[in-house]
Amino acid sequence: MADFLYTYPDHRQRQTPAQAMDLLGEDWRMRNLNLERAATETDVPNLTWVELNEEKVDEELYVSLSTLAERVWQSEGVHLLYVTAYNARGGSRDRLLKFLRTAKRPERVELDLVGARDFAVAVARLNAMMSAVGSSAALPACPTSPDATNRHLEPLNADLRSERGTLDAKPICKLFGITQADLAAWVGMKKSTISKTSDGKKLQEVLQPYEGVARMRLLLKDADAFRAWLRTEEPLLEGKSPLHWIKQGKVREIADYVDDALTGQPS
Amino acid sequence: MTASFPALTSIEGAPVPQEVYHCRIVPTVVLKSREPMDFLYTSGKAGRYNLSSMPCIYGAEDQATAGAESERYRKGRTVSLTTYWIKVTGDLLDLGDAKVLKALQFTPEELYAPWRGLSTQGPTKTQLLGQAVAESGRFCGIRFPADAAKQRGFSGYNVVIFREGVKAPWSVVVSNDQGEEVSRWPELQTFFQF
Repeated sequence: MADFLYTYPDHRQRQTPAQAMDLLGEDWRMRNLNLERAATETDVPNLTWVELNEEKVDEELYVSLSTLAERVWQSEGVHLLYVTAYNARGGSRDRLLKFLRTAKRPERVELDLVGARDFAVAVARLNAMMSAVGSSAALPACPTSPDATNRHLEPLNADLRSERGTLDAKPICKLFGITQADLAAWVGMKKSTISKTSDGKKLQEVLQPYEGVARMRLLLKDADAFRAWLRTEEPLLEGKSPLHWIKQGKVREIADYVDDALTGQPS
Repeated sequence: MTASFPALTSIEGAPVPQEVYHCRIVPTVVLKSREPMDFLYTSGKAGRYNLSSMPCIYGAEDQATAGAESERYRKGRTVSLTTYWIKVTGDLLDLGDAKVLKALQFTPEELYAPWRGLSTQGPTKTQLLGQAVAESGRFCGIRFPADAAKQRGFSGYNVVIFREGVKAPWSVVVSNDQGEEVSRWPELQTFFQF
């Protein structure tokens, strides 16, 4: 599993380009952040795309880019910083060339300053870097076993997260086949709290065990099978269904049960 | 905690036989989704013989028992499986020994009682025993009869090894199905954190 971050200088959220979505597929954990915020993140992804478009690369932007780059230089593992700024001219171009010239790890930078961006080049380069060190994280999966049909679940439960990467109550309710009112009652919150900001900070802790339960999908065919499993009586759960116990406030215990199932834990 | 089980101070530990390799059978799809390979360990999660605060590792004494454990969860699904091997060097509290059970005042039923904290609250007797064993310094873990094997009509055993109980010269070495060492207690390196 590899991580991808799309980052940009303006404060309005931009959509991750379709080119990246198409090329990377669902084997990647994707995030999308403003550059200023990305520069403060401690979690350094394998591939970071800094898209500057026609933005003027002033001193402030240069500092943010350098701060972000410093984390990339210092991180262990395979990392690539892909910087695009088509039609960069004058001082902007000079600053970006200086950035490349002074990079502590120039092998970790791909600078694309002319014409339409070609993200495929960055992906190809990262894959080559990963192959060179023996990591297959970003390479396509080899469908060699029945398990390969479950590859769509990697990264785990990405479909339960909002665009900003936090757990989101809406897809969780949909997957579990429950209403937001049900969830609110079970986690001891107001329905309005959940419906207003379904991926809010306050909800993350209570949604975490639900994410753990949803990992059961690794062993199941699809979402329908997961909902059926939730409602099926299980001898190891004292003859009751997982959903029965979740309703009783035992979602953490059910998440632990799922973890045991996934790891063949003797019980 | 040994005060709850005074017999622990006098029961002799049973060394793990040289030829025994404990094992775990894990769906391969799970291995693809998790790195590093620290998931075999219970960390922050209760088990039959541990509270959530007690890091430990569970394994089966043979592949038949590991298979029975794995089968409990498979439910007819087709999955490919990978075996992990756990080499334990150290002394165990052997609950397969009737004299030990008697000394600890355990009934056979108590060994198979529900422990997940669903319909009951608080630590179970087996979890309290695990805590006492981990703290005793006399055993690195417990050998206990496998409920999964019993359900399938044969006699099989599992072990739980407590990190706190594994002190040199005792050791636990986990290897993958390629024979590569993936983890070791006591740690020689800090790469794997539990």
